[in-house]
Amino acid sequence: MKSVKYVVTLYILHFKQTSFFRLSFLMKLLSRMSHVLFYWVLFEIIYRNVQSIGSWSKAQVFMLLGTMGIVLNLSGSLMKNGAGGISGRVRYGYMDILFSRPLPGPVLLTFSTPDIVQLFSLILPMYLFIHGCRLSSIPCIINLVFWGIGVLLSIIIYILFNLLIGMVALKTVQFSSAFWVLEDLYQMGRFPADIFPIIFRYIFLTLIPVLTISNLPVLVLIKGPVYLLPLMGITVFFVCPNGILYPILRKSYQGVGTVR
Amino acid sequence: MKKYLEAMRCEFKFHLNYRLNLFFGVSYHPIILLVYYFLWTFIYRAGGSIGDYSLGGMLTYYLITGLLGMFVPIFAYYTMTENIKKGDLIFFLTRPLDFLGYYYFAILTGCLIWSMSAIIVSLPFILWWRNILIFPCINGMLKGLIFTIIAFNMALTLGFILNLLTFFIGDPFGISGFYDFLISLLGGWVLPLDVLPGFIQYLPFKYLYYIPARAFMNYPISLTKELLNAMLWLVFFFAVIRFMWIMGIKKYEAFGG
Repeated sequence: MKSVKYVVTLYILHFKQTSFFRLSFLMKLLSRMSHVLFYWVLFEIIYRNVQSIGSWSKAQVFMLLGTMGIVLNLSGSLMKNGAGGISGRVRYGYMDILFSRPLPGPVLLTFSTPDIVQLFSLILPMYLFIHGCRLSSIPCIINLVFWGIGVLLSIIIYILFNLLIGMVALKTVQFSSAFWVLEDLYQMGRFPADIFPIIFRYIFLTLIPVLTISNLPVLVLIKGPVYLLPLMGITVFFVCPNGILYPILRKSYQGVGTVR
Repeated sequence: MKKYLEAMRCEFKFHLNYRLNLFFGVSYHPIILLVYYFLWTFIYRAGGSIGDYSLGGMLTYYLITGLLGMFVPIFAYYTMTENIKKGDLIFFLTRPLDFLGYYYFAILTGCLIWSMSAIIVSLPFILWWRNILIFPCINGMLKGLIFTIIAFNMALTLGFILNLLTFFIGDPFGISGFYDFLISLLGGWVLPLDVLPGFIQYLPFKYLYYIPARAFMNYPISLTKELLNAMLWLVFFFAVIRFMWIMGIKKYEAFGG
């Protein structure tokens, strides 16, 4: 409960801070939305020339783009550069400040840098998702609820996976470049899983879950709640290593600089 | 000229200090190439096609535009904005070193190193797709190189304009994502421009990716017309930079000590 209160307070403070920079806020909002626009244009043109990509119709791909946008923006608004910033914090000795607070370390590591702009930029992916739903046929309400659960699980997977990679920096210090690659890999999630050969599909649905967090919630919506099971399985799969690795890496961390 | 060569040498050393980062930094290129390979192979095998491009044509196009993406500096360097914002611009103004000239050569060096890294990580793809890629003939290679030089200068002038906006509106990099999207779309990085609405071809952005890529691919382009057009746009952008610089310096007030 204390952790939730902490995250909510941080969110409110960040919102207050952001509201001082209105023009900057609007410009960042436009920038954040452009990631979705990019792929929207790409698939719009592709679907002018083809009927479907594998089993994915235009409407379904729009749902996919919308879902991926929602997952990335929501996760980003909660943690922004949380896990990716661990490396920098270790390097400059700022981790001590987090570790000395009376809250769980992983919560502080993940949620200490919220980004309100990303929350507002949800408008476009949500519009695209609704547009996709309207283009096919409005899915049944129950599947929509299951889709919501799927999105929630995807956000948890995203956060856990990022945290797992970010925590390595507690041992290795310099690890931020791994996040550059990860950011690029997440772009794969904007494409239907059908286009990838089977081996790539397995890798990106399990070990590096970039397809999981986008494709599975949409499959839940289209084909039913059975696709929630792999999402749950993968969530558990990433909870375990986080739980095991965190105490080990936490111990190996050595602060630098001076005590303030 | 000697001082600008020194700037290039410093930039070269700076980049080579972080060699691994250099390769991680170009990671987007092989990842997106792989995705596009799967996407377009899937579409073409299913009988689809885009414009008059074959599968090989499409892959060649994305390979070239990907490499150009590493070479054309559409943002120039963010440090230009920082220098203006933090008042460090006075160090340039009080020394016999031109601010824009210094960054021109520093960025050129950075871009050469980035594109070399991108070429190295592209080599496996070139070998893998060697049977379907369209390789340039000598004529195409020459045309492509000329348009690549133009693309570099055009991108740099746009990047300079973006950074010089700092004089007037504060930090313009908030809009960088949208600017990147516009340049990518209008320049032909998202898709070849001939499959997009025709009016885009009248804009100068096609010289960033689309025209150089077509030149390398030996696709027909009107050399004289395009060269003349590109030069006129470059002169226009240089004039805008000059105007912004004069106006910016007039109203510029450094602070600090």
